[in-house]
Amino acid sequence: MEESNKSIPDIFQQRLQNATVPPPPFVWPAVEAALQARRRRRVLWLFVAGMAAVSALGLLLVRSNNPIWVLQDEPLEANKSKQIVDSQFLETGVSAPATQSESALTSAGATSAQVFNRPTLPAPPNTAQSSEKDVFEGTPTSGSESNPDVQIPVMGTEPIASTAIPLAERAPAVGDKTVSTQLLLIPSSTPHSSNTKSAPSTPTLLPAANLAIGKKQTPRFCYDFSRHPSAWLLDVYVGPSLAQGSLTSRTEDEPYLKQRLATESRSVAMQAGVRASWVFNRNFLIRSGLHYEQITETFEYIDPTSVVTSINNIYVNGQFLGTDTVVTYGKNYQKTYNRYGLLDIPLMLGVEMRSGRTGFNINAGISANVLFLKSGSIIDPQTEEPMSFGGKTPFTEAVFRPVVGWSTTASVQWYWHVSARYRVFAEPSFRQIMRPITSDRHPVSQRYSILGIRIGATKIF
Amino acid sequence: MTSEEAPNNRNPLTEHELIRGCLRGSVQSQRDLYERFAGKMYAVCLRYARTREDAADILQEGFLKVFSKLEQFQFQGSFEGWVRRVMVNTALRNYQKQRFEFEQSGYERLPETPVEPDAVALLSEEELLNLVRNLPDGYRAVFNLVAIEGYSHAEAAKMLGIQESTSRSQLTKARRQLEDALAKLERTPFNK
Repeated sequence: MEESNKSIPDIFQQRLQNATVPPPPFVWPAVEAALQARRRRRVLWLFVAGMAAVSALGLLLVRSNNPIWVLQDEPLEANKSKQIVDSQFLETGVSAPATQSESALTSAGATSAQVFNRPTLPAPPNTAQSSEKDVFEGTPTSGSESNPDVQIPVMGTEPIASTAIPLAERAPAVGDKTVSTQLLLIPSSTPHSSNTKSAPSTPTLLPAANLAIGKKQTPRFCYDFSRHPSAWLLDVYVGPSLAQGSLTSRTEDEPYLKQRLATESRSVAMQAGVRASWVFNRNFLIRSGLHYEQITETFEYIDPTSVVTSINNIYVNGQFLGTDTVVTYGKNYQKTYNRYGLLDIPLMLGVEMRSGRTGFNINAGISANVLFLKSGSIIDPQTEEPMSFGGKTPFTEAVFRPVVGWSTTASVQWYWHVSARYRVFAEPSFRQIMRPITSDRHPVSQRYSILGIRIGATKIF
Repeated sequence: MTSEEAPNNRNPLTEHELIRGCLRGSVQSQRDLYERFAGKMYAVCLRYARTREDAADILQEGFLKVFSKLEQFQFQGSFEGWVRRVMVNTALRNYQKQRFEFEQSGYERLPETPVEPDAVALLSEEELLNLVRNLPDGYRAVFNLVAIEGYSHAEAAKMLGIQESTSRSQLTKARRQLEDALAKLERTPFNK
């Protein structure tokens, strides 16, 4: 009777508090997939944060160390005038220097000269207005009022004839790290001296170069995007990558998933590519090209239940003595490398930020897979034995997609100009293949996300 | 893989070792931990959810929270109790998202029906869980928290965002509805 007085809540508590009910089989794969997605998001955010920090640090270091010197990387030719100006002059608010006139050079008989581009300064009241500019060597510099870090050439107070003069010594070749500090004598009787309002009667000494003697000046070579806001870039790159693969079961066939997990392991990956980029509006890029990625995994299979029995006949002096039975366990051992090669056409948009000789660009976009090569071995879901795949065999077509489809991709590139038109770069990248590489009919969904770094070079056209 | 097939009994790792493995990010440890507790936690979810699908969703979301908040476990007290609390909180959040504005009140008027404990003993755990799941949302939540989990009415009211008096009345209503359901089962030919 005592039991009959037991209340409903007590009864239910007694029976249900520690009850156990088997959960549906699809719950764990969903939990695992969500955990993997979280891990991938965490890695991606760390990657982006790391890149942003590295880029910011690189910019800070470059800004603090870079002198504002620009050298023309090619000597002026008689029939050409090239205007290659350090865009930083513009970025720092100083107006771009004017072009050196060819006629001034050719009329003065200059054979070769270094042209120092200097910003246009407001002319002193008694300075002749002339369309021809001077040629200096070892132009002195001083800090500008607007930006103390910007070093600009200082004009002498005396009016200076705008005629080039032969140099006593040959000017240092482009790329030389030392700059001569020779003073220049300008003859007063020049063809244009009549244009000057107050021509000097005596030779005028140009201000001496205000450069540290013996200290090498590092010339920077930059492409003038301020004057050429559009340009074509061609990249070539190669690099290692880390392919993070995941295998999840599409069906309730968990033992098959476990077999695949037990027999396949990640090995190495690499990437290479050629890319054309169109720079427009100075800072924006559209990029496309051909990108090849190869993922290599190790397939290792050993069947512990495999038994091979061999019977050997034993002969001594031609006489049959008996048989020797040899039983070998686990002989069915295979090791091979599974290779997945993906050839894609990427399409990316980017934005580029520059600081003199260096800079970085951030890119993001999609890529379409046009060729998917695969070879190797996996466990056959039907026979549970290793089965080779590759080419156009029925097994290959049953397991893998013909092409892997779309991927999303992002990268941050840090580059360094070795010359005005060539630069080298390092570009960490991330790629997520949107769909599994296995077909929908295969019981296991095989996906990849790839982190890599591209080392390459760019030519600017 | 079901809990009966789970290799819990053969897993030599202790609970703390499993937890530490999960904190290190070991996928195998996470899986083993899931298999160790999924059966009991699914039963908890079945009590709180309206449908089996909801129970599976709660179980999935609950384990995601367990793994993401695992570092908050101080290795003091029962880990199963900690996991259960996470699961109950997840279930209650699901309940609060889904609860009906108007509760069914038809069963309130039925008189109390004495229930033979033998009748209850004949029912499987699954059937008892079904009875609980058939309760209206509010009754079910209070019944689970107060009658089975052992929270007080004050604690249950706070967790559900209701008045303590509401909690008491809903427990009474839940009890009567269960008694009625059990009485109906007693009158079936199977039980006669």
